[in-house]
Amino acid sequence: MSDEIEDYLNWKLAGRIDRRDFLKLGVSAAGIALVAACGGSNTVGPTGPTGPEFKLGVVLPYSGVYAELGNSITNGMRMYFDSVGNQAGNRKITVVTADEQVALADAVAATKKVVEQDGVDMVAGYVSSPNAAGNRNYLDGLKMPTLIANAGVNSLSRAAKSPFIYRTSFSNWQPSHPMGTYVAEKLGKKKIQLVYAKYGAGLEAVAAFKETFTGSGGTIVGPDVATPFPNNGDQTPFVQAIQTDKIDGIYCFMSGTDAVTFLKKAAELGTLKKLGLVSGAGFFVEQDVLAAITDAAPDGAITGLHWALPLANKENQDFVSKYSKKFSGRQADVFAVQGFDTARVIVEALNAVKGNTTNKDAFMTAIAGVSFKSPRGDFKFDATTNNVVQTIYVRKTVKDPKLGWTNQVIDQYPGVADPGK
Amino acid sequence: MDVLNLAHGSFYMIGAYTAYTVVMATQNFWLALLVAPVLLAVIGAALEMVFFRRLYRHGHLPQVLMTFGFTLVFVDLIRSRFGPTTRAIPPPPGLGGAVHLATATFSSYSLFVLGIAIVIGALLVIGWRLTRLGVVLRAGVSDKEMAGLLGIDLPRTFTFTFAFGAALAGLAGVIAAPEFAIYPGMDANVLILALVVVVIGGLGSIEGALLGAAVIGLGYVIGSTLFPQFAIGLIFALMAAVLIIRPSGLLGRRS
Amino acid sequence: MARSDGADEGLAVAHLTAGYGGGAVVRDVSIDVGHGEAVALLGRNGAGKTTALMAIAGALRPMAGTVAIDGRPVAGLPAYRIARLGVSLVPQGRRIFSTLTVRENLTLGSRGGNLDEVHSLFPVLAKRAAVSGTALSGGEQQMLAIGRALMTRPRLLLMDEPSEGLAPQVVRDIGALVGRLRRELGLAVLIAEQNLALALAIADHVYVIERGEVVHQSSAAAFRGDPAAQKRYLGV
Repeated sequence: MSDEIEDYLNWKLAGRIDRRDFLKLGVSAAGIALVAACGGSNTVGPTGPTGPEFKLGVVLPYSGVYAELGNSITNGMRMYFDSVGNQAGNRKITVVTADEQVALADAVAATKKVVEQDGVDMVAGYVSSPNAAGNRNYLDGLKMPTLIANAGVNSLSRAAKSPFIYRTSFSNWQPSHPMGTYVAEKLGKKKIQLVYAKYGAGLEAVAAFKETFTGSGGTIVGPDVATPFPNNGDQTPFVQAIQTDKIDGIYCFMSGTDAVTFLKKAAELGTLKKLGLVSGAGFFVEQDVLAAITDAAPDGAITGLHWALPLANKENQDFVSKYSKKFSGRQADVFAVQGFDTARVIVEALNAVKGNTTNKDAFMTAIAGVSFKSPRGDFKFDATTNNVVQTIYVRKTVKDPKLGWTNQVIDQYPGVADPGK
Repeated sequence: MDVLNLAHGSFYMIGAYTAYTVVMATQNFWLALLVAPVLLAVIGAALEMVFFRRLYRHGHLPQVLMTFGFTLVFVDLIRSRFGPTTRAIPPPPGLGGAVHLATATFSSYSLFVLGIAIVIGALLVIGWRLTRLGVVLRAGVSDKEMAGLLGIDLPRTFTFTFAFGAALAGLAGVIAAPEFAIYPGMDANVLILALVVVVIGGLGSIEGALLGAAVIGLGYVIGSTLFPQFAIGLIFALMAAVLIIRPSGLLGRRS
Repeated sequence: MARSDGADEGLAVAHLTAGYGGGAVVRDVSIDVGHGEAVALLGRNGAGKTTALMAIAGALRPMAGTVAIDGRPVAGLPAYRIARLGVSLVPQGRRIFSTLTVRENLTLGSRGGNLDEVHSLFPVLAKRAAVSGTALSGGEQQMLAIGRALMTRPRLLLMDEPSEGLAPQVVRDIGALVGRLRRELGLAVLIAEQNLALALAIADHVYVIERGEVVHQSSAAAFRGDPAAQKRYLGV
């Protein structure tokens, strides 16, 4: 019971403890108070770390449209930190969270809060690309060690890369680039129409697909179907702009709510059934989307992503079951994996420098050198782009008797690195 | 009533979550169509009697502040109960397919929504134009004090009307649930569009709201197809244009 | 203080203080209007006549004093409840509902009023029943405002500057009309006016209000025969 309280005290998540957790905490605290009042036994824990506290500022959305992603990433981080007793390199790791929200102004305020008010040693987080890019110069200028835990904008691995900012998630280019080759060569589908939410991530993803797809002899059939982002209106005109009789299939980039409304409408209108191939970046049919649309799911859709729920490696099987146990039955998702790996990078780098982070260049070198077997497979950084090098899995959307709707891995492209120079 | 209620979007969201809850528990969409309006009428009446009626005399700003406060309360309540995840429910049995009309294809459910919207719109116009309640409300919109001086019990009428409006928003939420996605924040999206509709149509005019909705609906779909990045911008440009040419809206009263 | 013998009869206003935003516009005003009586409230612009009428009708909550209708205290009741006790206001500026047709303006507050009777009093309102109330001319709107008040079957008619902005002939018509309503319906009238001729044509008794206080009262006949008082209080 006291472990649980210890967790919370270490974690300082006051801002985001949900009501159930809060009640649990209250009950535990009452229990402890009772024990203390009765003159309970003196429990002295093992000797803790003796070095100075290591403060990590986590800037993630806990409200607004991306709140779910923020929570998953935070859970993943919490799970890894807990597994190592919230310490590394003889330093106690304390996490200070701030709400990234949606707009850049809020994300900037959140970053400044953890840096200037809380005086953190390191920053991690950022779900949305504009927010990651918008804080880049500030963090770079301060030489603040930073890990991007989601935002995929390509430029952070290219023109805007910083020696102090590494990315543990993906670049938008990564999941889609191998898919062009796969669709054209392995599936032999040569006429594809592009469907995407028209914003940075969508544009970068379909551009990466197009590059390898046309390079492998495929033809993009125009015009592209570009939806507003986010699309709060009717998806019908966009679904109907898919020229089912002229193409072998579509390649799609959408996520979250947009993917849900688009797929539902495409199922209702019978468009999905008429398509020889539904392909895309994996976010289009990730677990959050499949859970919402259930049987409107595009059976047999082929998508690329750096993870899949049923991935067979031991680390993933372990992660998925422990995650579900720790967070009252919640299913793991790709964002939780990214959080888990982000925390692991921090811990391993701290261990490597024996807790000494005053020499920032040495600390960044330690970060760059971290590599391990992640739930997503082999994880390491690319010295050229400061971006993660990882396997991109080709997955097929199926209804699994045990897992329900999910994405079965059918092929893989190991060691995919962003082409930044 | 001349009341600016920003919590109207919350009523819509609560309607959608009611639909989700009822459909998950009973698999019966039609039951949700009955439950949500009743629930929202009760919520609406309670809010009006306890909170909003104190603000009528103080103009729009306090109304905006208080009702906006309630949107935050409601979205947090929804989030704490259902989490931030996007939810969806399927269309009711029989309406999950597509209908082919001439060369066009529509989802049956979209046509159902269209049909319901036309029926409700027509009933509202008839009620507004031809019923006693419509006369009382139009009088209340134009001069509350004078209506009271003629013996009209406006507080009761306003409570009823507010509850009725909340019920309609709840109904809209249920109807929208299978068509769109259900998530905390869906209230803000629909609220912004509703405000633009009302401003373009003209405050205090049902026909104006219908006309505004048609303009915005078509404008949004055409705009989002042609310029996906500027769909919302286009809507606001349209609103700005209307405000410049007719400051009181297309069918609004001129003060 | 009470002028009429039976204080339980008609309208009795005693020591009324009322105003806006905490500031008193009328102070310590006492007025009685007996059954079927016509009383004029005279005073210059801004003297407090409208405030007094609004406070009596309940549109304004009195700060002090009492208002009784047939002995029943009504000060502080909402306007709609006072209206339902048989008090109806023809307001300054007429305040016709622009969102209602002429007919709807009439039927809105109807409590047993007879549309045919009002139409026979004002044939123009029948002819133009379907147009918006504010599409009428000023004189017609005044008729509509009076007709609208009559539809509530009042026993006491409050009239606030009915002559304002109207041609002299129309003003004379209104005077004649009010006389007829008193005779035929036994209606009591409290009229606030600056137009002395109209007030004296209608009223049995006059009160003069100056800077929010009653400074003079007498029978209408006495005031008519007292040019000095007329000049002192009203500058005519």
